[in-house]
Amino acid sequence: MADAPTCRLYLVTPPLGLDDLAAFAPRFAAALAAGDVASALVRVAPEAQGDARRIAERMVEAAARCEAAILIEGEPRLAPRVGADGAHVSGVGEPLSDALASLRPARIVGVGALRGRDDAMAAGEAGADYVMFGEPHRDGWTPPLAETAERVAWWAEIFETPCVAYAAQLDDVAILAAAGADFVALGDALWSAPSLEQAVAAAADAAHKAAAARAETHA
Amino acid sequence: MRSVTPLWLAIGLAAAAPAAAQTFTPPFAPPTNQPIPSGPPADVAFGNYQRGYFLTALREALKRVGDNPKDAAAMTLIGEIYDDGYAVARNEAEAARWYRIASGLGDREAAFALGTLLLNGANGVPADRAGAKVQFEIAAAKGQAGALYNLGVMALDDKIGGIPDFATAAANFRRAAEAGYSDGAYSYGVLLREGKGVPLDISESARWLKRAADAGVVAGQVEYAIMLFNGVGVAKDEAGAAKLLLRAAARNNPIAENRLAHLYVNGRGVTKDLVEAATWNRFAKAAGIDDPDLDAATASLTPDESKRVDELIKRQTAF
Repeated sequence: MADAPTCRLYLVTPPLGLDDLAAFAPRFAAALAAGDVASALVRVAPEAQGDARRIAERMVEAAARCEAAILIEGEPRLAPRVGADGAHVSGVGEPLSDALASLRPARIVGVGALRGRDDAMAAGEAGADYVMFGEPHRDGWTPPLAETAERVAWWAEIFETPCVAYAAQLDDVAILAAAGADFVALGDALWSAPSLEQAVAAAADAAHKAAAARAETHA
Repeated sequence: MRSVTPLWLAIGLAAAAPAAAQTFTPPFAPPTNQPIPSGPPADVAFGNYQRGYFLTALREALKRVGDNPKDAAAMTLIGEIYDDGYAVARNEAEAARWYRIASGLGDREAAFALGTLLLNGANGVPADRAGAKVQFEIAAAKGQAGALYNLGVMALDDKIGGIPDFATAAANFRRAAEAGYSDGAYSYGVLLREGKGVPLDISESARWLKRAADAGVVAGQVEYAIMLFNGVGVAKDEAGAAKLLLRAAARNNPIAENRLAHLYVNGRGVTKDLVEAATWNRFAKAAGIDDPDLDAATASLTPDESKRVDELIKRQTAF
């Protein structure tokens, strides 16, 4: 993805069911259009897995006018069928190798839910397009900002593979970008903001500025 | 602070394993946990197996064999299901029986799996090294990378007149490496560097060790890092060497931890940082590498710096 020393936004939808689409699709489209968004991850609620295809199709359609790459959580086989740009898988090993085998090189494969440095390195070495740090765990627990920033800094030093840092708060964006994240992911922090458009624009700006400042000191 | 430049750093990083090829005994390939379907694509039985529906997979595979008694891919899958014991009680003898039929029908994955069972022996399957070799040869003839690699290891192990068959080992490691098997790339790279079984070719060695390092073979990361640091077989790149050592050290390789500590003491390839140096020296020491030079170089940390060492160690072990 990005070679230039910059940091762009990566949006993460809430877990969606069919009933959420009417309300969420326009908000999704508005968020994508509100600033420089590189990518967005579409998540399907566990109880709506049977409707995954319709949900994914609808979200790809909502994003049609934007440049952002649309990724589908899990479901590497679904991504090409709905015209998405790739898939985001949880964990290394089979989920990752299956996704790489079925999607690369035409599409993007990213990895999250990494349990440790070894997992992260294995993902990079297997050829993942990005690794994600700091996203909420399945039980809702989110790693503290300092931990995520430390992982990002560690990664940026030793791997060319881009990393996505999940920001639990809008204020975290600049810190994660300064730590060396290539992308900052926004989920709940964005969808619960008073103004979606303002939040996207401000976060994109904060990410760019922090990355530019980092590039100067690392030059 | 006294600057410590040990001799090996002054003349370049010492090789990780100086007489590697003499004592070079790489481990055998692990059994594949995933059969690779050589049957029709989009196979129902295999799909069920992949999704974890092992019993359904077994039923479908048995049905396939019922429909076509020569369906080797389905037999291999049945063998795997008995071998891993997820769906049914583990039964290696039954697995071996199915593998043997499928291998006889030319299924390379079955031959590799049977060879692996025979190599170590299992419940109801007596170890049979010669039998294992026959199976690896069947699989290798069809390009099965794990089998090629194992034949290479066997050639090193089965000494003739006390001498390993380096030429056979090199040929098999090379084919395994070319089939994308990263342990094969590592082993072939080491033989090329030592000129064992293949004419010594240091830049070709660097090329294969790089491939192994990039694919995550830790020993390859350490050895290629040292070649990068010294500019042997490849353009000198101290920062690139440090990055690889950081990866290998994060995987608890003691040699990488020790070499990395030296780089931090001397500010080579990384910014000089005695806290980092002390941290990696502590890890290496815990793994049994005593290095008085590093101890001396990191002996006079301030209490604050010592606290940061503890924090770094904690972080490193937490994730």
